[in-house]
Amino acid sequence: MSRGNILSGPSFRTALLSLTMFLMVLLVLGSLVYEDLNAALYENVELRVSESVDILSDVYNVDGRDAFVNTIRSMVAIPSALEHNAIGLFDASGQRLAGNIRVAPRDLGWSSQILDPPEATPGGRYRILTVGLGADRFSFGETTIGADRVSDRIIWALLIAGLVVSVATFIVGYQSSGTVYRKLETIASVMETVAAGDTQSRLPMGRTHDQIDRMARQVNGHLDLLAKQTVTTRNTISAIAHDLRTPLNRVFLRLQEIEGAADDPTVQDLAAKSIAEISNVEHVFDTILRISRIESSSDKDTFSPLAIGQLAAEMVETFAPVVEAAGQKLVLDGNGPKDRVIIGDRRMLAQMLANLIENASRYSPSGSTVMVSALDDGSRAALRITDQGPGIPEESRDDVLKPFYRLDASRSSPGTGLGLALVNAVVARHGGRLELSDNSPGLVVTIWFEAQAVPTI
Amino acid sequence: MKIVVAEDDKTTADFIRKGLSEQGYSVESYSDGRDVLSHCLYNPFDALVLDRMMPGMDGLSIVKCLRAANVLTPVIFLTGMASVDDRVDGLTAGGDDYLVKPFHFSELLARIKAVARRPVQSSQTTTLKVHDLELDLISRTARRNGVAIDLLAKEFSLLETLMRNAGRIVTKTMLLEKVWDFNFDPQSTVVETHISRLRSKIDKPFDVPLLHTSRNSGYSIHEPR
Repeated sequence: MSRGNILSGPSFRTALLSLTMFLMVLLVLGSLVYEDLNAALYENVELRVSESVDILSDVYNVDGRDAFVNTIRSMVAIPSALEHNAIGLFDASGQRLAGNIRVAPRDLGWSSQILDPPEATPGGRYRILTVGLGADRFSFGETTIGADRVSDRIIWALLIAGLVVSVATFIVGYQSSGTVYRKLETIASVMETVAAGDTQSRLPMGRTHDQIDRMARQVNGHLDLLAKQTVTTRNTISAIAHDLRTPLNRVFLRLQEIEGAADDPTVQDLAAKSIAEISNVEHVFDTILRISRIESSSDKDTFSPLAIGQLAAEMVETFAPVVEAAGQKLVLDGNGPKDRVIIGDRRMLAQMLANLIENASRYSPSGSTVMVSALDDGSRAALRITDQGPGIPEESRDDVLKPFYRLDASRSSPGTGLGLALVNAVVARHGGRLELSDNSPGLVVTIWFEAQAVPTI
Repeated sequence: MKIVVAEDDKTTADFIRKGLSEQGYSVESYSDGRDVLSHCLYNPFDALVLDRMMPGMDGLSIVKCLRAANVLTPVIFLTGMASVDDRVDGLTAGGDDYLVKPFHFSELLARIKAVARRPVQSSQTTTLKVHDLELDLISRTARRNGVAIDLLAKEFSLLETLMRNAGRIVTKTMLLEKVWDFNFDPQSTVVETHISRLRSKIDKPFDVPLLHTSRNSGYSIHEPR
């Protein structure tokens, strides 16, 4: 389950979208709140500054300029008198006459200035009101540190809120997307097994009743229908083969009568050839019905312990001269386990191996080697047949197991197209797994048997 | 020899009856299971050819009844079913052989002769002999004219089966069942190839051929005629 897939999930995207909207709203509202509060706090400061300016202006107006200058000077001299405040008296040219404001504000009215200790305590921003007194300019201000602190806190609060919500949203979105993704993955894998032929596979039903669960219920309903139809189709194929056998048998018998009763050797020969053709058809029907029986039954009455090494050796001994007559060599892999035992039906497995060996010989070039091996990988036993023929291209490896499928589309090569279907049925009946791979060149067919706790002989 | 044929399909029944009559057998045929059972319980016969599916009473039940009544005469089942397990069921119920339809008449004939053989071979036989060919079943060795012949395991089983049925035709299908325990027909020439290898070991180096091929029927081993 890759992270990329989760991040592209709709739940995650929705969460991301909600988050973006929320952050935008937070930004807008937050700015408004910030501005509003800032303004209110600054208003407070300005109110006090205005009052002080009025009071102090009176001193200038009543006691005169020099007295005012002295007052200011004495205020500056006592640090505690000027705590939180800034004061300055400037002449018309901007020269400072008294006070702790170094630079005269340019205009009358409100302005802000940064002042540092030791002139002003605390250091920082000051809100200053400048009024004209006679020809001079009087400036008075208060630190806005309190207001600034509150404003900063608000910004921090908004940032933290935004961050927490973002993280929480990411987590929730990721989890939710992950859950959905897992559900969809399960659905995808079930559909894959169904497509591969397992008609009994069903979607798991979740405990919530979300849309995916409801969809799963519907899909399961469809799969039930599909399974029924598959059974019907299989039964139909078997029924057809079964019903056709009776008239076929009769033709077979009649042809034998003709062959026996005819005096003319030409007639006898034709009858014999017809009998051979009917035998071929009969063989196809027999294989179809055999496959059908193997697939539909699961009883293990005919299963018993058998040593796969021994089976492989016997099959090689039996078919080696046949393969040799066809121009190839059949060998047994001597490194196989001697005592590995599995539970199986020996006759079925013999037919399976015969099919695979005959296939390998049929498609291999002269002089090549076909090898049969018994394997044991520690937990599972296996039988393997390798050849040096043309192999089966990877994209066809699932199709070749289907009944009547032919790699050669013209269907002119010998064989019925049922061999691998039978092999597949036998493997499935044994609860095993069929693996087709490349021998470069050639085909490797491996039949894995499930791990069984069987003591060695 | 008297053969009872129990088959409800008229075409098949006529075909078998005609064929067996031509071979010199006397044939009684029935199409209902109950009639077959009552005939076989009270009349002597040499072999019964019995269809698995019969109206009135099915083949398996008929054989079980016969065996329970101590009628041990050989029974060959005929069946149209393809199940690989039916053969086991049939033999377990007491049948002696099993033939799947459609079959060559020569196949049925060979099997009838094989199950109705006289004298019955004792399981204590330790050697088999045809002309100057001898098989030692204990040591699993073969000799002809005193000369030891080196045979592989399957070749020995093949020769043993032929010699146990000396004088009779053994069909390819019978050999596949008895020697290889196959219940299918390999599309390749397994039996033919092994027969020809056997022939090159037991016949070619010697004067008189003992192993014969009967076209379309099977193989046999017998004394020179």
